[in-house]
Amino acid sequence: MSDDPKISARYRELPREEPPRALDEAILAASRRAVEARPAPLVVPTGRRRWYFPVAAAAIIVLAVAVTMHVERDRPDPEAFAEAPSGLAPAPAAPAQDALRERMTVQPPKPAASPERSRKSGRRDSVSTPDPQPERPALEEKPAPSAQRDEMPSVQRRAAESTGANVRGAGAPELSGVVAAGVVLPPEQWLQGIADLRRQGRQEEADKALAEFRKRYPDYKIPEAMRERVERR
Amino acid sequence: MLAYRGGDAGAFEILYARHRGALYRFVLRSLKERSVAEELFQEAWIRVIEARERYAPSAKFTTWLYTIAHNLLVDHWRRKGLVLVELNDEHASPDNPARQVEARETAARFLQVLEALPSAQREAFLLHEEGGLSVAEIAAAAGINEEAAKSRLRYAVAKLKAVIDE
Repeated sequence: MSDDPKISARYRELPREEPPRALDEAILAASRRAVEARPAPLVVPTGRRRWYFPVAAAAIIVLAVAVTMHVERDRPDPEAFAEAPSGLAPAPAAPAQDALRERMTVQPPKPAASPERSRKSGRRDSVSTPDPQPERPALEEKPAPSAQRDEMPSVQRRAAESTGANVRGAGAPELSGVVAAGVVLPPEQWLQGIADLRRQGRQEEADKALAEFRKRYPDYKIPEAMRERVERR
Repeated sequence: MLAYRGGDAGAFEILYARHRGALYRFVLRSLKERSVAEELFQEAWIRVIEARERYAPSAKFTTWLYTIAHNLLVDHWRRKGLVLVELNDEHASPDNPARQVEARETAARFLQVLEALPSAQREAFLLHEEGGLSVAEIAAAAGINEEAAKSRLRYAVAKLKAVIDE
């Protein structure tokens, strides 16, 4: 084979070693297994690599389970998230917070807040919004100072501005303004407002309101007890 | 190899019988450590089996086979140093003790020089002698250009020739 035949001849004189029989059998067996098990795997699991596949599969499963558990554990609890801010609000109110709360108490109560929700968000609201006030009729609420008028519902605010009677009585401003704005109140509520006006000595306003009431409810029969309170005596 | 790829297990047995001795000696004389040589020899054939689906007859099967073996050897050399191997002398003639001794000494000397060759030159020589590869095929199997393959082979032959001419 070499350019020099003597070199090749000398090399051919070297012992002609052959692979051991066991090695031949192992390789031929592997070749037969590969043909029998079609399609051929990318890596034939023989000898020391036979354990690769089960170990790899087990590792993938363990990893998937671990990741799933980790994700489940780290998911934020919506309830805990809703309650979390309550722990941040200090229990005793500082003077500055009292002043703030005092200013904010004139805001109209949130109409749609359920008791459960109010309880949950109570402390958080104590900073930004007032605590829920004891229920009282709308006409008996304290009169709103001018600085607080912006917090009133727009209809009431427009009515109060149009009548100018916004600081004199408990229910009068609302009644006058509401009537002037063309808002139709239930008869009982309207009559109660007129009675309040009479009680406060605001006779002219009471007369006007009563006249308006009769125009709106011409067929309404005023109960006797209420009639005595709403009509001028 | 194409027949084996098609599912003919007998085709592989023919292929194996044709190349097993030469490849074994190539690996053994490159490594000089029998147990490692056997492991790499087996690994080379396992790779042939595994790669049967991807085999394309773009080159001689022999070149492809020795390319696999060369890559395994390179990986091995990168991991470990070389260790001398003790060769069996079971082929020595039993009928003439004097000639037996002479032949053994000559072979030992030749082997000694062969083993002392730089690994690249020895590999080129073994690919040529055992694999029957041409210079171009040696270059393809070893991943070098033809000039380098020719140079390696020439240096190896020259050193061995010097031993014979002594």
